[in-house]
Amino acid sequence: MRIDPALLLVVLVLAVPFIVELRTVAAWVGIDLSLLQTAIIGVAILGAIVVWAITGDSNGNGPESPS
Amino acid sequence: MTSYIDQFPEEARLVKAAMVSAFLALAVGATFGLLQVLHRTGMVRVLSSADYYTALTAHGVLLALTFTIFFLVALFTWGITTSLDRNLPSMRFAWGWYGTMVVGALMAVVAIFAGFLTEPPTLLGEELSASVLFTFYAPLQAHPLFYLGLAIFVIGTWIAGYDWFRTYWAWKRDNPDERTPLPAFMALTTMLFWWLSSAGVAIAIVVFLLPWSLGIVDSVNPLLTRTLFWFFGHAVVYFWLMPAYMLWYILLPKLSGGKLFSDPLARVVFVLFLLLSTPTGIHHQYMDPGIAEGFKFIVMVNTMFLLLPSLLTAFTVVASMEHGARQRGGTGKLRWLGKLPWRDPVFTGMALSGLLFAAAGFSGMINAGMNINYLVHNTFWIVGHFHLTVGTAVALTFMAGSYWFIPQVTGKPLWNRTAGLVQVLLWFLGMVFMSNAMHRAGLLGVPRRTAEPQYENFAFEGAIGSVGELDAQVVLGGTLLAISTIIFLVTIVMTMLGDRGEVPDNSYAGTLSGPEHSPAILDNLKLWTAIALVLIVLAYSLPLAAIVQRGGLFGPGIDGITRVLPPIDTIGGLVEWVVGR
Repeated sequence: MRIDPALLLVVLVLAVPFIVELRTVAAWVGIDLSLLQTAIIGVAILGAIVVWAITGDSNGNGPESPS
Repeated sequence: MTSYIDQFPEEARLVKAAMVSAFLALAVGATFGLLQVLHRTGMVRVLSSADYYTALTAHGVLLALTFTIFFLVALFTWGITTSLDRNLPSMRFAWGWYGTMVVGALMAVVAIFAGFLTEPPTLLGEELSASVLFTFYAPLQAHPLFYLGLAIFVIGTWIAGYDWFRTYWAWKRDNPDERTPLPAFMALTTMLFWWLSSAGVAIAIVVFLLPWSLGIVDSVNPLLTRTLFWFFGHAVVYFWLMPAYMLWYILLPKLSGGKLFSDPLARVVFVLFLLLSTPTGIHHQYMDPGIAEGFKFIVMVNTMFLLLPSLLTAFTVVASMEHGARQRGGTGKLRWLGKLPWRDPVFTGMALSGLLFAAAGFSGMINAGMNINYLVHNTFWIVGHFHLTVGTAVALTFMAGSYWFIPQVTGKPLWNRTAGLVQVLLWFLGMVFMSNAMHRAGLLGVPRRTAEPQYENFAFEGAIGSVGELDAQVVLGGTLLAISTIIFLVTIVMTMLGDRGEVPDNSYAGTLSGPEHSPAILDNLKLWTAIALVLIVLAYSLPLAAIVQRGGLFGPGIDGITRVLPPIDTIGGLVEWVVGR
């Protein structure tokens, strides 16, 4: 696991505002996304984050040390 | 391990009672929030549209005043006693100010809730009702019980402040050469500007709104009561926010595993808020025609200066978190973030609330700018903005903080850390959905403070996507927030019902740069209060004089004062008689 599961949840939640505003950014460059298209792209982005997090090694910056 | 209840058992009971009062207000206020979201968007209509405004008043008063202020008096009592390592002088006195606040809050709430009845009871010759919204200035009029309740509630906070100050004075007598500990310094500076700013609303209530609702005067000057409300109305934002800042400064670095980056910077921040919190209120009145543009410009400059302490806070708190992460072995420019205690709902909730507060700062800058404010004034944008400030920076910090404080005041460990983590994440998620849609709808011109934003023969057009999609986003966000509130309340109740066990030590973060590095003048509260007073006089004296000159104290021509004058004549005659003898 590349990052702590709790941090993964936080990263997923933090990705949501970017996904919500994805339509605005796309509209600026002339691409009109429907709600369904945005939702599918959003799920794909969240899925990619999960795959990235569960594959690979933490290299010492992963799970938190006990405080 | 020594918890707060072990060190201060009597004060712990008071802190617990105040926090439970806050949570009760949260439970009821949040329920109305969900009902409003469903009603406004037309998804589910439980209330009539007339009752919507009663629900809106209950939501605003219960969450923005009752929840926040009960929690912060608990927090400041903890901060004063823990940092000075000293009991409050008299627990009977302390329970007295808490009881005063409870009585005041109940009076206001009873007046509001009576508005839901088809035939409200009559009291003092008036029907009991107070559907005047959280911004309770004229021309909307409430039952006297509402104004009286609010006045008593505010007086309770004033007495609480006096209690903390006399605790501090006693400590100072015993420790004349010691620097004021940071949590105490934060509580006292916050209390000072609360006294200054809440004087405005106290005058509005006692001198104008209460006599008007009792029928003693016939009319009031609406612009005057609005201006006096906003004299307090913006500073109250900082009254809520400073306790959140306090937790970010003294708990987040400790939870991160490190120390506060700079005690002197934290003191500068709180002094700046003491100076600038109050002379900024007119920025809520940019659209009011009765105040000259020049005064509004002065207030805009003051407001922009307030960005400085918030930016200082962002720098200091993030630097402290980075220090903590590196103490845990974190490396790299950003990889240290992985070493922060993300499993801890106290830390994660506060960190996420700080992040959304940054977004609130950006929308706040737009609100504060005189020209661009005209675009968003009285639109749904403003509702999105304050749900990021008081609804997230304050509320989420308080909820996350509760996961640390409830074990402190009960001696019982947190019931379920995972539930707490899910709760703070859901709150963040819900607020992102809801406030984002509110901001975007505001840009389209969708109004606030209305049960019926869908006008006949007119439709708002979405710039990207449809208004219906924005409504769905608001409902999604509101529903997630309601679920988050339920998880929070369940976690708190289960913790309080649990058995005593091991809880964190009652301590707060040490400092990398301590008070010894800050100039002693920072602790001179008399000086900063005097400067704050001068700034208030500069910002408010001429606008208030102009408002009274133009519209009178009790309306044009001061007609409304006719019933006040006879008793004044009687007193005058009495004085003449005494002097004559």
